[in-house]
Amino acid sequence: MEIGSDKNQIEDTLEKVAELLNEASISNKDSVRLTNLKHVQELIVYKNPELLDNFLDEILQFQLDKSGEVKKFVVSFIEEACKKDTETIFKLIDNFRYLLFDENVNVQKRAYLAMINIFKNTLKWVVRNQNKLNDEQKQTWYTLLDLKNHIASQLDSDNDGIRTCCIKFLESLILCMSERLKESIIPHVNKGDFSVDQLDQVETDLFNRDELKEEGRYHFKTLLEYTLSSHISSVNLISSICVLSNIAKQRPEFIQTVLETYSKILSNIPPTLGKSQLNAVKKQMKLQIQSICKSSLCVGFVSELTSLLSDLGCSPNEINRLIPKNISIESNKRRL
Amino acid sequence: MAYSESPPEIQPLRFAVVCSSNQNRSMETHNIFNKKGLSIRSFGTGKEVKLPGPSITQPNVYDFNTTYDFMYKDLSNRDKQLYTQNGILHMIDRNRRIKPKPERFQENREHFDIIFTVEERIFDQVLEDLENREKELNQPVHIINIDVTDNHEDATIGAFILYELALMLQNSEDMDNEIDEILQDYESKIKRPILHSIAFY
Repeated sequence: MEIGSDKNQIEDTLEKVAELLNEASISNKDSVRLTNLKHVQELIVYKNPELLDNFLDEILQFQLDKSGEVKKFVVSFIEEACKKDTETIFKLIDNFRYLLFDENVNVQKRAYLAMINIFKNTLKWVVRNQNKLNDEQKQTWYTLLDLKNHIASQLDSDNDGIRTCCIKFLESLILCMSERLKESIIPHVNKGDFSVDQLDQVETDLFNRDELKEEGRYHFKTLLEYTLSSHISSVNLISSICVLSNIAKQRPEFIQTVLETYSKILSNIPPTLGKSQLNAVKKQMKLQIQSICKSSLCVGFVSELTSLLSDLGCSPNEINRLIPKNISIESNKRRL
Repeated sequence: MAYSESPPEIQPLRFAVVCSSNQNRSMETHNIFNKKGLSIRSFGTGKEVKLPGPSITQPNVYDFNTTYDFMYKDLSNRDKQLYTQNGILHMIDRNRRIKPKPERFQENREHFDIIFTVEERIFDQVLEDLENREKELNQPVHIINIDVTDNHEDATIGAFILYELALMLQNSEDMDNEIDEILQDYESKIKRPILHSIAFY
């Protein structure tokens, strides 16, 4: 009885999805196509993922749509489908690459941000299955590496929004390509993410732990140089400040450099920033420092944190409140 | 497969506006944006909803689960003349026509493209709340503050200032690339400081 009702439900879903896709393909209204496609995603990615393969080609046709919003939907569909099943990327890599180089900058940006999850999940999968990859899967992995290099080089883009996405992408690369320590503070959603220490062997055909770490340090250095450049916009300076704090908390090896960079930002404020922009930059930096102060990582960095908070205009009372007393004492002991 | 032959429709930006109690400044803006057809949600960041009472030291305090309708009836029963005279009943009546009850920003998990705040303290609270959330989507959100004094007249002026800015952002072809310039120009025009930050969901 139950098997029969499941079958009926699947048939109903198949019929419904076909109807929605059909309506979307003949509608000349962007909003109708978008609504229908979102409905389809709900039905075949979240509710009945076993039906995904049946409609993949029909959905991917919408990557040729004139509307940027519809193309952005296809990007998010690929991202969600790969979240559900990492191996989906092997079927969709060409479509994803096509969208990542779309002429519409909003589609490009959406693809850059989708690449954060796609790259780190595929990296984790490839590391685990590296001994049994077929040629096609290897080729997909090399294509993803090319796309990774392309996005990572976009700090040079003329478009400020593209640069923002690049900063966020670099954060995930640096985290993947560095070691998680027991002191690392990992947000709940990132607990399952890949980090370089998960490589069982130092060197395999596809991976070299030292080279990966070296690449991570290279991206970190590039990000620092960009953060300290005089032409950076306030939005991207704020993005960098947030990203650097996330890196410092998750990868304590970088905390010293991050705090030094914060200090350099304050002593070399980009001349293009207006008064309100500077105020917003300082607010974000204070928020990030507060967040570091709340963690056990601030032991050993009390004097740097105190100095930064003071440069940001905090009174001694406020600084005492932000840096827990027991941590100050612990820090003094360690220094002794 | 048929493709759109008409020019691509502009995807509406998802705006939010946040004040302290989700009564006056955010609701006036909510009202204007609604009337002009922009996508808008409104919130407060306060622990409770505070409304003026018989004196400065005796505010009327409700929790965020209280409906505007209940507040309207409650204040009408307490002192209809006072709360009619100071415009509070009129304001709550307007609010209950827009949505059932005030909403607390920190308890909402919807995603927006732009979040407007109307006071520096609220801007700080919004940034702190977004910072403390689990981040999974990597989608950016711009947070923009323009100070608006908390009285009826200034709330109306503030709502139009935010509306004009929202329209410029909505009509921008590449908002992320142009927002810095739009805000700097608008700051000079309105002669009020504009704070702008970015966070990621």
